[in-house]
Amino acid sequence: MVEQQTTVFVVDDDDGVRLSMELLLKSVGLRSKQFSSAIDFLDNYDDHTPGCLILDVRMPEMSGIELQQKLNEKQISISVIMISGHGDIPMAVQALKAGATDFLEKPFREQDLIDAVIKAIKIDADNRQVWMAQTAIDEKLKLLTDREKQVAGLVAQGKANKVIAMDLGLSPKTVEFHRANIMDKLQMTSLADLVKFMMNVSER
Amino acid sequence: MDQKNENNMILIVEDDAGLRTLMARVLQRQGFQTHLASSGQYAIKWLQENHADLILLDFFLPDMTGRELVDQLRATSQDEEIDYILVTGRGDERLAVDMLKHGAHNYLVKDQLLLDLLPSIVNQEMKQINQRQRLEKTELALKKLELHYQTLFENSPLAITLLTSDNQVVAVNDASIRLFGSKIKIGKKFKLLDYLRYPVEFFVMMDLLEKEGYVKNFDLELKEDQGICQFISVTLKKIEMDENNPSTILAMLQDITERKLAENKVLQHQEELAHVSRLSILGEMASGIAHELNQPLCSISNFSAASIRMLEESTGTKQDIIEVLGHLTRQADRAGNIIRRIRSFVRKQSSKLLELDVNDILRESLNLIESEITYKKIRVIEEIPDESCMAIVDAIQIEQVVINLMKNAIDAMTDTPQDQRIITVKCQRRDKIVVSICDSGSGIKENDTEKLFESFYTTKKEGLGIGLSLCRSIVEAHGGHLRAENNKEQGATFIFTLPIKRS
Repeated sequence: MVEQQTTVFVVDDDDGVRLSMELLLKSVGLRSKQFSSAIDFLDNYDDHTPGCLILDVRMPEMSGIELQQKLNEKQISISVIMISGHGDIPMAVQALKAGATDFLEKPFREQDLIDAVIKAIKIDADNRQVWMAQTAIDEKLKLLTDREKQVAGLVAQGKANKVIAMDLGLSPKTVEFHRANIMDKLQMTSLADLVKFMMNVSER
Repeated sequence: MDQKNENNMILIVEDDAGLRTLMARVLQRQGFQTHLASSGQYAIKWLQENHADLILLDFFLPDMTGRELVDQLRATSQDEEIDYILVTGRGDERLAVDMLKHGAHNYLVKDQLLLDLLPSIVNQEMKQINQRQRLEKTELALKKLELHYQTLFENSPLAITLLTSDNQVVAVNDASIRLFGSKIKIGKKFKLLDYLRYPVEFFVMMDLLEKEGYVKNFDLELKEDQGICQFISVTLKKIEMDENNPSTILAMLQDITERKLAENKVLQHQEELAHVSRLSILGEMASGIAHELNQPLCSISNFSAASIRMLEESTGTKQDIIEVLGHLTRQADRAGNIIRRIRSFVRKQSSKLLELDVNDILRESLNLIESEITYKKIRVIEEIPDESCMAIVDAIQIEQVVINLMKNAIDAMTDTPQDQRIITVKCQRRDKIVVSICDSGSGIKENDTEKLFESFYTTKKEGLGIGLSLCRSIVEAHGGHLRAENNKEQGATFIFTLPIKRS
């Protein structure tokens, strides 16, 4: 996986707003990419890119709220900052409920936007880290057979080999054999490592 | 027998019964009507109730002389001519001369030739008398006619004036003098132009007169400090009086101040209503407009923050910063334009008619309502031609009509699926300018197409029912029409026309 540069995505139908956002973000050293419509964004967005998304609530064709819904449906978890004009408080609530990290009303103080962007990028980075760790665990877990996963789960619950053998209707020797294989495949040396690993799996 | 003589009555005043009868018989044979009188008194009495075209008068009557009789008749008959022929005895020629001087037409001598001469002399005199009478009759009729015309002319409530081509007053009636007082006088010059508030209107009027030969009910406003009325309606006609005055102008002027003031009052009410309606439209669009205004404000704030940071942290070159500030200025202009558009739309002003391109007004209206269209996710198809559609209009009022119709179209599409919300705005230049606004909304209930335009009729929950009736008044005041029809497929179309201004 290629490491991507952190980017602020801006979707706004207004040329002036887009350009001013780009320059403002550039002035604090943030790279940004501008889209004039939600559809344009959806067609071009690569979800490997870290960063955040600034969305205008009120746009022709597809509104910010609708785009947010689309992203949720596609399980794209980029942080969203929603921006609205005057008097769209019910929309703010809707957007936050749908997972937006922030909501700003136009015209906003530029510091508020920058703060919100930095916060959103951080949340996105954290999310991506968790996600990457999760992906690593998933990859390792794939190495195990179904039986081994079963055994690993029971070991992590602190059950003794004998108990596991009884639960699964196996001989204690077989359980012993599986356990050695698990430790070997996961490249672990201690029981503590295995317990920690399995805790992350079950957290999902 | 002469037929013409039938209508002529001859009175024979003669105390000699035999002669009297003979004369009568001779004259009757000529076709004349006759009446016989044996005395002066009798003749006078008879003439009080009857008319004689000619009297054959014997000078020596038993009760008076012929002269006395003529005098008495003259005393009682006022203007009427006494036509008589004197009949005298032989040797009374001197008397005859006297009486000829006293108005006798002729004289006859009582001798053996009397009855032979009688017909020719009477015929000859009667011919003259008839001629004179006819002339008198014609004159009288003419006098009567003149009196009629004079009465009509003088009593007309219209101020009627005849002017020569160089403004010399030829004739005026009482109403003219009532209207203009001492400013108008026969033989003096009268220049209407001097009293007009807007001199240009005068030249427009005279131009029309030159082209058409007449001008009908041309309304003019007068200067306030002239002591005349405030508004007059002018009708002019070029007429040929005679060879000496080949181009006389007949001017008929009417004081229409009262009517005009009443009209202005109605107009003012309508303008106030229109103003209130514009405010209400704007109120309904407030949220959209705030959004529209927020865009440039947001950009301005961003651009300015960006330039400050670039300066503080020296991250931009001078050229970069100038560029950013340029963007900022453009956004400030944009915000200013939005506000200007709104202000001009809600400004309270009296009607201002100018020659304008209707296409520009359409574009301006669509700009004003753009945020509303965007927000409601409506696609607007503009079929506005490149060629200009000039008309004499009040821009704000026509803008109001367009926005009102657009808002109705938007409201009608609330229940239309988003991808089917389309408004087509079309402007066509035919023998008039035709603007149509076609939506894909819920349409008009069958019987409502005309009812829609009645005041206080509404199908909307929050509606007052003023919008469309006002739109129609505005369009009709511009000399156009506004109507509505349902589309074949879906939605409705509102069409209004405006008279074209040809250059």
